[in-house]
Amino acid sequence: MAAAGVYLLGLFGLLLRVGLNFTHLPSWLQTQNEVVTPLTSWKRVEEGFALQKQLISPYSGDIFHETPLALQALKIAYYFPWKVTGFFLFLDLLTMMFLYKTSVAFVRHLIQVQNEEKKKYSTKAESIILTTDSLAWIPTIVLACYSLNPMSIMTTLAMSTGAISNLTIILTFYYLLQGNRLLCTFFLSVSAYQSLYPLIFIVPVALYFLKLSRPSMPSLVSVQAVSSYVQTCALFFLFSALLIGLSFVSEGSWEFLYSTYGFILTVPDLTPNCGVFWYFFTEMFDHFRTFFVCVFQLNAVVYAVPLAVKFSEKPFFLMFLLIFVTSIFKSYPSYADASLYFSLLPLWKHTFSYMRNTLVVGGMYVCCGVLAPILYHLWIFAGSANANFYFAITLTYSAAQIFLVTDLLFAYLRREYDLYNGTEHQNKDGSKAQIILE
Amino acid sequence: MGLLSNEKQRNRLVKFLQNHHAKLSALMYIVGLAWFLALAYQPFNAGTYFSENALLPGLVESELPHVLTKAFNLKDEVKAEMNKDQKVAPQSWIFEKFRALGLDTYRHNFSVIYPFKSISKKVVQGENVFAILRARRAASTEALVLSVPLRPLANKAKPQTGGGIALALALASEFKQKAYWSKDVIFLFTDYDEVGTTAWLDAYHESKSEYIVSEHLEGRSGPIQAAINLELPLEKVSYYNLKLEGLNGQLPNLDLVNLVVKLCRKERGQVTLHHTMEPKLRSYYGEGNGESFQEYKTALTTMMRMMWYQASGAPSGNHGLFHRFHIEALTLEGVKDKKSTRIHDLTASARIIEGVFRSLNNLMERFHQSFFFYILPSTNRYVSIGMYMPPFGLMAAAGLITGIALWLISGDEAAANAVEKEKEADPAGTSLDGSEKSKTKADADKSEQDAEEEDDEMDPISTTGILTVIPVILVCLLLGWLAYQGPELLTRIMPKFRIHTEDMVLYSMLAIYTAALMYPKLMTRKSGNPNRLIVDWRLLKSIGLISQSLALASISLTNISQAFFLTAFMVPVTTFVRPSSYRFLRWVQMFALVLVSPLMLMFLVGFITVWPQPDVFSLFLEAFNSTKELIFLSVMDNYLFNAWTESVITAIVFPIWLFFWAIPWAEP
Amino acid sequence: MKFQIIVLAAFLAFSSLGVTATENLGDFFKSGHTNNWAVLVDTSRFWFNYRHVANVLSIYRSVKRLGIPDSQIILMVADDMACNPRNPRPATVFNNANQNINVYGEDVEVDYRGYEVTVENFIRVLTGRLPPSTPHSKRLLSDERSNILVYMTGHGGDGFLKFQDAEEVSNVELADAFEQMWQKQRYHEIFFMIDTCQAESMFQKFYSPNILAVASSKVGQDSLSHHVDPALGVYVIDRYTFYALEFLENVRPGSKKTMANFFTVCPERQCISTVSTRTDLFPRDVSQTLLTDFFGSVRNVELLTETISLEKINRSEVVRKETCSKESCSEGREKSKLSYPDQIPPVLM
Repeated sequence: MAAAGVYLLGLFGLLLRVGLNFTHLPSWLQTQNEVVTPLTSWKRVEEGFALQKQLISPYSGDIFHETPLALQALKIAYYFPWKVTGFFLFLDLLTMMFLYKTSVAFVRHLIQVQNEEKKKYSTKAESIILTTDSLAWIPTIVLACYSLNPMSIMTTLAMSTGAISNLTIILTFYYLLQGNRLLCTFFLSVSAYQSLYPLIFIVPVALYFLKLSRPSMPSLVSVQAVSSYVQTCALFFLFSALLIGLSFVSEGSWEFLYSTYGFILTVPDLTPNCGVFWYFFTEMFDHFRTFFVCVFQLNAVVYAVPLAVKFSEKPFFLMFLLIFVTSIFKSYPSYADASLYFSLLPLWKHTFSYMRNTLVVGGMYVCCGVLAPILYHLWIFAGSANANFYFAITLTYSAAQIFLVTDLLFAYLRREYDLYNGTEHQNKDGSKAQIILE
Repeated sequence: MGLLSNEKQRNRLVKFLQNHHAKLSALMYIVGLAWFLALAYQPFNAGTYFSENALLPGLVESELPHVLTKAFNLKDEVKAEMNKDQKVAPQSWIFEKFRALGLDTYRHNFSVIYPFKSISKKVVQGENVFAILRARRAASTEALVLSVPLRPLANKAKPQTGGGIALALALASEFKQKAYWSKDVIFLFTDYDEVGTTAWLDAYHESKSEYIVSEHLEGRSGPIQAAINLELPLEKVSYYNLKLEGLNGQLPNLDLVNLVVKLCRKERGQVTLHHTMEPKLRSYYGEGNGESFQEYKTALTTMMRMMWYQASGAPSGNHGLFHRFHIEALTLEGVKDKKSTRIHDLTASARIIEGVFRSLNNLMERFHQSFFFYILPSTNRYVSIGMYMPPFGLMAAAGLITGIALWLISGDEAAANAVEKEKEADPAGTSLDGSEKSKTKADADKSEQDAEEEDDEMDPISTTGILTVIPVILVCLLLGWLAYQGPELLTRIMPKFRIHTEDMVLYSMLAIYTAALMYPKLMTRKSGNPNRLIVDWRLLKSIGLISQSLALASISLTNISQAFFLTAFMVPVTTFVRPSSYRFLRWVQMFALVLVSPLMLMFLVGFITVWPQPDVFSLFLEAFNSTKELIFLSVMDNYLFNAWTESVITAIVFPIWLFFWAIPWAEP
Repeated sequence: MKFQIIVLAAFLAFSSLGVTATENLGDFFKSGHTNNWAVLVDTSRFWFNYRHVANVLSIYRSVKRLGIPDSQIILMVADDMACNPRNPRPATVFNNANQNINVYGEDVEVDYRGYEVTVENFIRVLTGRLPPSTPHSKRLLSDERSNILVYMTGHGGDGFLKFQDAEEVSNVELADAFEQMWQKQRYHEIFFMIDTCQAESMFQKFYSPNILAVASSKVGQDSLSHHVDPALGVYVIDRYTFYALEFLENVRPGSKKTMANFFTVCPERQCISTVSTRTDLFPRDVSQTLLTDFFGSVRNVELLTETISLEKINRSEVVRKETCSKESCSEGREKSKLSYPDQIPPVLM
């Protein structure tokens, strides 16, 4: 039943994408700033191909921002049936497959961890203890969240290369679950090579491999621990160096570094998108720019430190939080990033019952999705509204994401608390107590 | 996070909502509506003012001769020319005249392909004429447009514009002698009104349209800053009327409107909005007492007329197409009123246009200062977006409040069911805080709407839960899509029926509509009551209300009037509709729902358009014809000008309405 | 303070010579300046600000008529109204609807025009920190005996004056610039005159000595325009400047009108705004200060009956002695052997 359902779901998702490809949607979506960014636009990739054909370095201009190896690799898109569309559909299929595999492995992992910890749980926490039955539907939901999610559908239709980054991150996640250090660090370095921010996922990856190698509660700062970190990091940097070296060989110069990573870090393109960088830096005086670029970029990665301290025992949750946080605060966010964390979100379905603001957050997401294109039209085409209208929406969108991630964090911690202290909380006088996050 | 995570406060709010949502909604709707209508009352709105410094409105003295003899001579020539062949417009004559003046004059051919391909490959040819007066001391980097629609004498449906032609010619020869132009002036004469204008604008901006194919322009100037469309008859006029409403409810910048109003006043011409005469005692800046009831009535009439035209989303004149290209434009219409004693000849009109153009000539940049979102209760008072949004928000939120309350209630109910079930299964009753848990669980559904499968474990014959709602929603959306694609699909499939296209469109709409009305009937399950639809009506209604609020909010951003009328009609009915076990109540509700259904609203519009009729029968007949025309025109506008009204009604409003249509059919 | 003592001492010395002589000589020397400069600035551009250009050109015309030569007037005009395509009378600027005087006549030398009128350039002109390549005509070459008239017009607010719709100079910046001028001994006295909205705020922060200031309006008041030329379709002059000019028209180079008279110009019923003055930094009595001390360039000439014999100076020697060290002179000599480069490269010939 479940298996058939899964296949049907995947098939339905694909058919939906194929069907929508015949409408006006793809060409419209390719121009939507919330869906494609300068980093992920397929039009720019085509420009890169064209420049290369003319024997001009694609990085000499300000159009092309993909990495050199991606430039080489993406040429296979033209050998797919149905050309580029087919290629992106294939990517989607791969993503769905690995998402499903990931979630199956993750459910197994959850049960396993729970069995190890069960002794320490409160006796009163029985109602929230996970069972195989209660988790049986999670893979299906994860798949549904990807195949039917409007955001991921839009990403595919718009042929955003964000889909590739998403796939590599999912592969990292998958091989992390499998405990395959080689492949995991490889895909991590590929995704970091492709979009830079995944660099910080090295933290959960290193933590998890430490945990795997020494299951008996190792200290996080012992010699063995450090040597394990070094091994993981060494592998990661080896692969990264290899990739960058290969890029140098294929490109013949280091010019690409500025056009790719420099472009991500210094944020020269202020085309409006669903993040907040563009507005701040158009308003910013030039002499503050460098400082604030640093602040904004740090903001995207700095959460890795406190979260790593708090969740050193829960590397998967940590990884998910980092995926979430980087996709909010990165310099060129798009719906592609949102589609990634939305599809992984149901992995933590067992904490959803502790979430508080789902109605508000859901409403905010829907409003942003509907109003953003309208306000963009009023601003750019009709000329009757102005940048502030659109910025208000992107700000709301960011706020919604932050609400969601904090809500999830709170729910997770709340559940952990209940596991160890029981679900019934009483004040000293016997009345029902209320737990507040402060 | 305090507010968001403090459960006690939240529970209090939730309880309050659940218990009082109906009263609250009613109150909000009534207050909102009253407030909105009160905006026309002078103390509640504001006087217009110029915020663009550069315009320098009316400072310059006219340099036209005291009597513009040229215009009078030309008027007679135009008359003679028009009478030569009543069926065609005098393009060639105009072309020759302008060429003789020494302006860069061009013809511009275009053809209109009939959108309903099946019927015939009918192609209509048209020809625009335009002349560019190059500014002597500037570099043709900016332009102003004076446009006049060409209407052959045989075309009796619309008022004549011969006066405009004569005036444009006279002004061109006057303007040509002046050294002060900083922008080119383009004199544009368009064939087939809006179609010609669209064709010309498309060609000017090198954009393409599917159904209007236009020739490449031979001459061009810079970006157009503003345009005035002139509809003047050959006779003397008694007052001037302004038309502002553009495509998709877009309006010109308020500064342009103020400018034209001010110039008309300066030349002692009476100026009206939609032919509403304003009481004379008011001074220009509106300091006079506009507080009497009589004046309020006049202001409200003006405001409602303006909103009526804006709501249609169709342009009220040629100017409406300019808005699409971010060009501020309006139509100045000269009207002959036999009752009025005031008379303005062409010289007066010429002075107005001269003044307007000299002010526009002063512009340094595009209009951007003043309001783009406003409603006018008179020519010198305005209601800005900041003033009309709160009352509108109240009205729209009336539905939203009920929607949220129902969401919470249905969540609670689902939780109660779950507890019951659990109790059955486990008589000891595990001590979990069921209501809270499942409520948030139900909430979680919303946040990722695609995770509906979550509740799969539910009993399939259950009358609640998301699973009962999804099929209904899907069917509604499908029907909406059909209605959206309907006219084109049907005309493509059934070319053999030899009926008028107008009828065809109407009938296809009617067919889809009646089919849609039957959908709850068709969806009833075999088991149980055959007349009852098994659906979690609270959930359905709450989804319907929430999406309705969202849709109305989106529409209000582009076309407040359309959103206002939809809200005013739909919200009271959709908010209070609920299943009932009394047959009578059910019928009343269904009747009310049908009354506010999109097609009936269209009919209502037709009804109001033809309102004063001698007897009831002819009233209905005329209303029917008018509705038919209305629907056809909105479909055509969609094809030719990319007007959104038809799409909005069929693809958004209609499916949402269908959500509600299922509710009276549901089990109470 | 020092200067005051000197004046007092001089006065005491002269008083011993006799009553009539004292008065004449007092009149003769009391100003203490030897040259006059004017910095006239219009800070706003665009056709609808025609009146500001007319303002500044009118003042220019007046000070020139009263004797300040073009070489000592720095005229900054932010926009070219005469050549604006909107101007129905090309190549003219009028300051009155009856179009009697074309203030943009044949002999107008605009030193800074269009986009050159910036806060930076203005401050640089005042403080003399200009790049070495700047021609003399664009420099304020004043010294410690210079009386300077600074006239500004444009759009202002409380504490600032807008330049070119893009930037603004604040009253603090302006006050600091004047202090810098004082410390560098670039002026003897300054008369600061400003016609803009909330003009008073611009001189409130001044703290350097010997500055006399007048503004067209108080803080919180608008300065209004005077009238429209219906043929041009723009306002042609501001109220305060209009009445100030009316007053100046009756002033001749030898006039005995004082600054106190000038401060009564444009009472509130004419100006609508209140003209505001500041005299606390100015040591002299304004009712004794001649208008021509600032608006004119009055050179007092003293006739002597005896002959003064002057030493003959060998010019070339002096030059060599004073201006060059050995190296620079040798360099100079080398540089003097300049020749024109070939018009066509020799290769082609």
